[in-house]
Amino acid sequence: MAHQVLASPSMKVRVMPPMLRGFLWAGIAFLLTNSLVASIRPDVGHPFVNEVSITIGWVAALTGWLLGVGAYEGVVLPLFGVTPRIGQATDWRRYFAFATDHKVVGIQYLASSAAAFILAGSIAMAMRIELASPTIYFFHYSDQYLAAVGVHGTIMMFAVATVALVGGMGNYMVPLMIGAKNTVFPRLSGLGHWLIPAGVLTVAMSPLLGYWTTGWRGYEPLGSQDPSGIIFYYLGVAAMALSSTIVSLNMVTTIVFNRAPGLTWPRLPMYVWGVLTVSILNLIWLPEIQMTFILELLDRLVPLNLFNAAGQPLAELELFWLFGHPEVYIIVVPGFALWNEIIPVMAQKSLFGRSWAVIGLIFVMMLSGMVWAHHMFTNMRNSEILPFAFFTEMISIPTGFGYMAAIGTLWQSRYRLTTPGLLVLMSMFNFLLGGISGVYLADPPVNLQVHDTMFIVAHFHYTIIGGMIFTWIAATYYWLPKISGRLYSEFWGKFLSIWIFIAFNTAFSTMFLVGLEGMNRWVPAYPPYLHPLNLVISLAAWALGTGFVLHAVHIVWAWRKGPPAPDNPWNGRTLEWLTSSPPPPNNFAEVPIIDESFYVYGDAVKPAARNWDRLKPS
Amino acid sequence: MPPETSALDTQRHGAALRWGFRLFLGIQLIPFIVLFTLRYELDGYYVAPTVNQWLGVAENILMLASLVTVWQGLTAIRENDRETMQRRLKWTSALGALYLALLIYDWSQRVVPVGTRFGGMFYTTIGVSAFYTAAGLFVLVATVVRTGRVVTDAQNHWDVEAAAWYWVFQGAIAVLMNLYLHWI
Repeated sequence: MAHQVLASPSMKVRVMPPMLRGFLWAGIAFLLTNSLVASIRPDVGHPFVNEVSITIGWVAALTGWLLGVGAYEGVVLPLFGVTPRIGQATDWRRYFAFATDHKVVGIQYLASSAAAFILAGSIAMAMRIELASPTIYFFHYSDQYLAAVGVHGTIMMFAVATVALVGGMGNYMVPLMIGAKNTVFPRLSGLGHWLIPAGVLTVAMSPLLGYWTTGWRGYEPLGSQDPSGIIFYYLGVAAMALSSTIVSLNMVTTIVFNRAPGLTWPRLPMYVWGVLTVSILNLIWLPEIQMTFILELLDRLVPLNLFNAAGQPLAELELFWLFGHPEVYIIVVPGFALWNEIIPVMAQKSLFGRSWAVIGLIFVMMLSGMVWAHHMFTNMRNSEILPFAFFTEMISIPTGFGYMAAIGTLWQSRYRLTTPGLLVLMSMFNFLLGGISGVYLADPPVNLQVHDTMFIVAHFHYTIIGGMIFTWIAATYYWLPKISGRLYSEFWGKFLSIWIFIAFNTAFSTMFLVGLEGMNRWVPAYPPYLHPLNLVISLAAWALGTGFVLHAVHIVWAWRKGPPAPDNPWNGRTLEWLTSSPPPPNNFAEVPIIDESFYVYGDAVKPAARNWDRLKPS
Repeated sequence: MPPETSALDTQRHGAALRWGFRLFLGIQLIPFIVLFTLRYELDGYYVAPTVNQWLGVAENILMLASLVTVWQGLTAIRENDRETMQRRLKWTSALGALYLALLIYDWSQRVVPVGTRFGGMFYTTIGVSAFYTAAGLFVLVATVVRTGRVVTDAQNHWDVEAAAWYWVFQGAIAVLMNLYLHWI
């Protein structure tokens, strides 16, 4: 199993594959620590595993995992001033170990997010198998179904929606787009990625400890009464949230300090603005939710009385949604930015109202912290509801700025309906429906009427799948020639995009209807009159899942076997298109010097970088 | 690359590291704002009469003393005095370890029941603060070992600076939390 890694020009050292070593060290650390703690504090009936021992054992396992995948040589030894004997792999193996190149880290995040998407998506397929019939037949107990809902939601939110466009595309593209060689904290960034697989596996394994029923929200006092599986929910989320915090810290610092000369704030690419604003949101709200979940964990383990009837259950709901609603914008803000990144390129037309599009991103970021209580209208007095209803409706205005810039750019343009161009338009349509249903939900009478029905589920899937997942796929096709140096098939790209668009809208527009017909969330069984609509949703959902898998197959095929791509297939003006595909280790042959905007098109326009002809390595 | 560009790059990279690290410390205030808010919601400014307030004062004196020694260490390396810096960091580590020992003694007295509203916040808040202190101790020990092995002088001491900033941050938090839970 061992492979050779270059340590110095004159020596090769045989080492165990890092991921295998990570698993081994994690297993040993868990067994030793769990056994030690369990022997100190044996619980009746569970002499080997108890809630305290498994928590401390998990911390040890996570440490062993991180050290094993390469943090030992990459972080710990340098911290103590020791030069490691082995360096980083330079071939394909570098994607399976601790890495410091932002492009490798970006691909690692993208691969982990895609794997998490397929895993959590498979769970959604199982949920739709269950809901294809009015009675329970696929899951054995209702708690099993609820645990499946929780695992699906948690992995989708913390390992896919929060990660793919920031940790994945952000890590890969932002340094290229600002003309930087690397990020400011490459070691921290390399470490951060490996928290995602650890967090996903933790949450995926949580049902082994008991079927928890709170969904991705961890509501109290329900959580403290749940089986022990919820412990792995808290711990898994802690790992994944820490990963996104690290990404955001690295991105903000890199954007502030590593911009090329002449790349002033008004010239900053739209996508970089999106990553910057969403990173600020992450830095504020992820530490908040981590502390909340640590308190919930302690509430259960010690036990304390913070969030039960002797404490304040409502405080947990408030603390959760203080993070929970900004989280929605953490997910879609990079999507908004990408629309206005891709549309001017596909239209070959100057971006309309660029400043307003940036102002929109910033105001969405600021307002997102003032709308959280609209998730709790059923727990509030009327006088408290109205300000939150007002701000929730207000947030549609800066969101509209992004639409205004996109539509103004499309207006009278000769838009190239390529696969990414098509997917961006689809995403805008989907998010429009999700957003408008959100404005509708901001009205208290409607909100109270449809609270906890499938109408809500349809609404947020329209915003998240419609706004973020479609844009993620668009961005993958848009930058695939840059990342892989190869082109995809336009036929299959468009065919599969139309496939998922039809399947998605069939599934979730029907879900609006089934919600209005009175179907609750969080139930594996329902009255027979809801069966026909649910069957339609299930069939469309399976078609959607198949469409996503086929997109993944097509992208992997193009990555490996697609025809070679030119360096700048879309005639884009941002800096990443001025270097080779894929980019070399330090990105550019020399530091770019920026003179012009990236979003101005026309016959007399010069390249944005003064030294554009010297940026590509010879 | 011309030498002056390289020096400029190094200077800018140093500024980025310092700015990023301060941003990291800034966001580490957020967990304590959560704890502060929750305690206010649960207890207001109530302090249980059984809390040993003078033990809290003793803990704070130890922590404040460690803040002085860590700053002396940073000042020493800025003046190119590596030996004094290492000695001061060792002193800081010793004072930090003593602080944690006193905290554990404070906890072991169980003067406040864990399951009460005040008790829950007392042990949780000080526990979280103690976690930051333990992390700071690890960083200090690593820095002492590291500065014995790599070039550390008035020009190259980002590691010492980061360790000192972190120690000051956790120390300020620990002092405030001790005051908040023992006196206010």
